[in-house]
Amino acid sequence: MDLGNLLAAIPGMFQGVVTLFEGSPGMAFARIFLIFLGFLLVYLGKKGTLEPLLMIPMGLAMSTVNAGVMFLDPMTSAAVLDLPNSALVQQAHTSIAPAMAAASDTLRIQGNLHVAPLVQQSENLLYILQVDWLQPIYTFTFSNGLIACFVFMGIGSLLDVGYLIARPFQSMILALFAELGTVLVLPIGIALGLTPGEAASIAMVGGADGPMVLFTSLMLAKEIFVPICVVAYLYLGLTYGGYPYLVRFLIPKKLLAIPMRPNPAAKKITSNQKLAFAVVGSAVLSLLFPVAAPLIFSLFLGVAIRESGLEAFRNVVENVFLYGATLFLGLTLGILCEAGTLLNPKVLLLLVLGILALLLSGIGGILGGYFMYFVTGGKVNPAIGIAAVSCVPTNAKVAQKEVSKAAPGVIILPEALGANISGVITSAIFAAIYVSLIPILWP
Amino acid sequence: MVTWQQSVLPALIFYVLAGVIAMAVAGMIAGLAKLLQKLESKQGK
Repeated sequence: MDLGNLLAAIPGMFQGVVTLFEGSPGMAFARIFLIFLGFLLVYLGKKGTLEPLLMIPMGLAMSTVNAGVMFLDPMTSAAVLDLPNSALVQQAHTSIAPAMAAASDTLRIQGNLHVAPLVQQSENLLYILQVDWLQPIYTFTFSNGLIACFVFMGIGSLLDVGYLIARPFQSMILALFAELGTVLVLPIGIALGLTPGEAASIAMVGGADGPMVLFTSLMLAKEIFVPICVVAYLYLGLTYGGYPYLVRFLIPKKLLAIPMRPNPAAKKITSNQKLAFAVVGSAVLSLLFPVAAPLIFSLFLGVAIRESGLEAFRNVVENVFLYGATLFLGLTLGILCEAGTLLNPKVLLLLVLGILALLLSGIGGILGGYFMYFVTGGKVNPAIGIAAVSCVPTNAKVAQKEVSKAAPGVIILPEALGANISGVITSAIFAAIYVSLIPILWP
Repeated sequence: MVTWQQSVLPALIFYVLAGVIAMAVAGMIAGLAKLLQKLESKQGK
């Protein structure tokens, strides 16, 4: 036994550390930065500054994936690089032929055993599915939007559409105002060098609806949908912490304290009416926008389950699907935050445009709140405008929380929820418009 | 290559289109609610 060889091989055991020194300094710095960013997300999630359900698994996964980088064997390297099948087979042969070992070393890339998001070819994908533990979740639920549909079913089962049915026009007008960022960031993104599909995908962050962003970017900007989704969900976690400041900055305490009379019509709406709304709404919106039909159907399925009184289904959708999908969504997003995937020159631009879209939509929503305040002669509390940015039910809670701080006892939550649900519908409308028309307008 | 000037008008059209559709959906919701209320009140009688 050669003790020298054994000692020389020991550092090779700790590939997470070795890869830090063998790659470029920029990559090493990015990995260390993302490890600490992961720690920070877990901390902020635990503290309640960011959405804990998403941020705790995401932060943990982000730090782990950037720590656990290793040298992949030639076969896995070829599959991760998505080399053509012939090259893969050839590489498999070289890896077992000692004489060709030197040649195969050129294909020992750095990677991880979690997920390989860029693999497309079926043979490579089949191989990776047997290697990376999260690849089945990514391939069969994330990249086809199933996980977004599960989240939407769960959200649907939480929604009381009675508030929307009671005041449909008011809620929809507020939601339209709250899509300001979704509209304005499209030309801004194009001005900053993005393609129309990429600009539309990042503009959808203004709708504050994660599944819609995931869906739009899958349809219009598949090559950068990973960074777009990561940016979107990071920022959606921020709305809970950031929007209260926007409300306090733009709405004086006097207006925040405006009481809203409960709408008697809301109490009269029966579960039969809500169920009929879900059935007709799903059919009509799918008729108009077949491209968004999976998401529309999932949302209304949740509503229908809730209103049908199917408690066993509701329990599955609300507890298993929603929380299960949220856990795997956070986990997968965190794992996708590998430095190699995120070191895309467009990421910085996406970070800027994402926060701009959310900021503009927040301002738009509050402008909508002011619009309704003036139109109704001061009967509407402008704070419900922020709830029209569709992050359900977070922004409705934000609106109520800020109003309660200014005037304890004033309840605006029912109207805020109506605007919140309308926000989901207008986001679906925008997603459908972008997905349908942008490829036709700019092929 | 699309310039931002070429994208402003389409973005505005998208907004108007979304507005029209959203109002149509709101109208549908209001109409449906009325219809169902009538039907339910008839059944009640």
